[in-house]
Amino acid sequence: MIAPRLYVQLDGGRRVYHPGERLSGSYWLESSTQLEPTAVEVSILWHTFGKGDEDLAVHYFDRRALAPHELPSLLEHPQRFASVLPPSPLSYEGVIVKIRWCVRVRVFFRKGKDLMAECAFQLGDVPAARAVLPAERD
Amino acid sequence: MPRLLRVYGKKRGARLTGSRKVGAAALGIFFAAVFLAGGVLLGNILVTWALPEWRLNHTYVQTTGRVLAARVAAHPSDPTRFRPEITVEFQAGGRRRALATYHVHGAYTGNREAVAATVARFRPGQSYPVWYDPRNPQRAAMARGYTWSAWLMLLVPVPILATGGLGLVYIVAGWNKSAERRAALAQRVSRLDPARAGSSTLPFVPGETDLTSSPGTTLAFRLAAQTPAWSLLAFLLACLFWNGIFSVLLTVVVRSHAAGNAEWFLTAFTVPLGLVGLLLVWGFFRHLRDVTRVAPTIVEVSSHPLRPAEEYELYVAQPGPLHLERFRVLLVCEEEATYSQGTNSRTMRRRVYQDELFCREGLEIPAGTLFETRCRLRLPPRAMHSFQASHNQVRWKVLVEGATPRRPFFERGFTVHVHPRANGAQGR
Amino acid sequence: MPTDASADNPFASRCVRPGAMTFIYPPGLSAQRLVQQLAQQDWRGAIVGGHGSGKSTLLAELSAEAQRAGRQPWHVVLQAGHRRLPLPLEAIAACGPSGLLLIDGYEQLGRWYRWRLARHCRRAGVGQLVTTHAPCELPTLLVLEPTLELFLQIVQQLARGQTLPFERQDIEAAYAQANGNLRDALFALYDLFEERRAARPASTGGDEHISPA
Repeated sequence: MIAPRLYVQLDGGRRVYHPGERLSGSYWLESSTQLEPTAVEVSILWHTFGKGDEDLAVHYFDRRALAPHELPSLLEHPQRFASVLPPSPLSYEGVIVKIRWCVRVRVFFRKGKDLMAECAFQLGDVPAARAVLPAERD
Repeated sequence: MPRLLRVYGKKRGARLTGSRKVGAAALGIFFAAVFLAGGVLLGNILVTWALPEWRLNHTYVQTTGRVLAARVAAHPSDPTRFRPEITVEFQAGGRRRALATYHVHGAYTGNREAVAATVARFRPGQSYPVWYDPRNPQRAAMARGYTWSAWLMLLVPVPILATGGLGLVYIVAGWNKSAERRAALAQRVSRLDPARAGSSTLPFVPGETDLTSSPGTTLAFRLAAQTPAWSLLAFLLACLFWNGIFSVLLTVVVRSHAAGNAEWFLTAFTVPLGLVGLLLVWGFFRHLRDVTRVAPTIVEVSSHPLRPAEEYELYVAQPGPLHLERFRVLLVCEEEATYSQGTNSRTMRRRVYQDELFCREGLEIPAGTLFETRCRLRLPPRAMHSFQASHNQVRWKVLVEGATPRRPFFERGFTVHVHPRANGAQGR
Repeated sequence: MPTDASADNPFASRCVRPGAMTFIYPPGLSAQRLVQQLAQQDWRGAIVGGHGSGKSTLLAELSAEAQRAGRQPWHVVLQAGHRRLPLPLEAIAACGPSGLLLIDGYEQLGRWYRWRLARHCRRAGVGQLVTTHAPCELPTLLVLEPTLELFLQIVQQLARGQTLPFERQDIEAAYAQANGNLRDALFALYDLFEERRAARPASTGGDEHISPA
């Protein structure tokens, strides 16, 4: 049995978007039909990265319960998603705070671990930041 | 957890984790128990208070009864609590009945005089209205109406039920779900929270209402300073509290010595307390001096919130007396990140942008005068907007710094909000 | 353009938090052996060590191992000033006779409360595995004493084959400045990584940064 693989792709291979633009893409599963997926979740979210605890917020969330007869279509045809992106927060590569956007797809199976794939993208065009002062004591 | 449920005070408090399913099951049991307790309490209040009163006023049948006796009855096990007991004879259900009653729930009260006044209204041998339960004529009352406290008590179990019920809903809703799904659920709940940062149009961007600024007198907006008022108040309260306790102990000690019956242990105990009290007083006045040595700085801006690539006018006023080696006004951007690991919670800051808007060397501000200046403020075309989440922030500030020869350096921050450009294109 | 994810700072909080890193055991020890020792101690034990010595990381690993050994872990993290668990002691029984209460920050609890907690755990058959800065009434399971060699191993683990923009002496200096606090030393390396990355020549992708107009 081939190990399942999940792919996510944004239309046109784009990675940079601006607020208010429509982000669209597709995902597909490569696997044998031995598996029994029960649901698929698609999220467009941002999360922080850096020195602080992670913050995460979901802009778009879609969950679809799958019936067994839907597996072939999941395997044969890429499934679509689309959403209009919000005005904030913009992607940001700071020093101790970074904000990153991505599309995350999860497939849940009746048995075994769920499968997750994500595709990062940039919202806005804020340049990377640099510290202007040495690290200060807390 | 959704902000609606602060059962465990998650952010800076204790955190409970474990096997998610088993943890959720145990939490579910806990919330179910709380819900059940609230339900039992509500049921008890309904059955013993609210429903009997409602039935008395809506379904009981009125008749006339003859009072045989009237007395103030004490509680069998608590002689300080009383209730009126009127023995009345009446006809109901085809039979002559006699029973002692007054109100349908027979509650006791500590107010003996009020009970006596009630009893005095009923004279043996006289006829009075009686209301009896047609389903059970042995239940009767000599008075109708509603006891407002009985109905108010219905509110008591509400928070208990709400905690248990909402908790159960949360457990069921969050059962076996991915992080994204839980976040999406939590965000739906947090949209009901008026205190959350950002608005539906600019998520996670602090808005105008998040700043306690007021209309300016020179320019449109006066910015609020980040004053240490709260720390000063906390210091004062600690000082008063501690020295209040110390003064009571000191009084006892002095009296014991004066009476020739010296309390030496208490005396020895009072000495270190007194030293700490003196230290607190000294600390408070030092803090007060630091806060008040330089008069409040006034900063006003021509428009707010700010946007990248746009220019604004800034007005700064500093009252005297002050002799400054250097006076500067800066626009800065700082990142702030809070992390909790183990038993520690720490906040780190980094300045990632700094622009000197104004600088004057050797500034002398005589007493009773005001130094004023205006300068231009322009944000870079692709500046990052203000951002506020639970553990991470990007914050913009106008900083006013003063360096003095003898006194410590002072720095005052005035938060400004930077919003993304309206057309979504940062500086394009 | 976004920073290449492969050049992500390996010392960010999500990489160094308990549960994200693999605990590096002293020679001759493993999670399995420690859990076996804990079982011999009637499922009562304390991990002792200073700030940033790896107690929380070890606790997270032992939690998973204890679950494999048939115990049901309940993980509680207490922070400064919190002198009670976030649930009533009476609810301890809900953990079940195969439960194992893992308390991070045990020293925060008051003595009287700890005594009551121990009594409830004994009655319910629930074990206790705690982290603490100093030995306590629970039998010590392991004392953590970080060394420079351990820190170097941790840095290597976090780097995951990535070439770091600093030398060994930078790592040693970060460790020395942190006075044995591994967490502080790792965060110092975070700052150093960001500084060195910012100082690298701009790539063709455009390594811009904002500056005054």
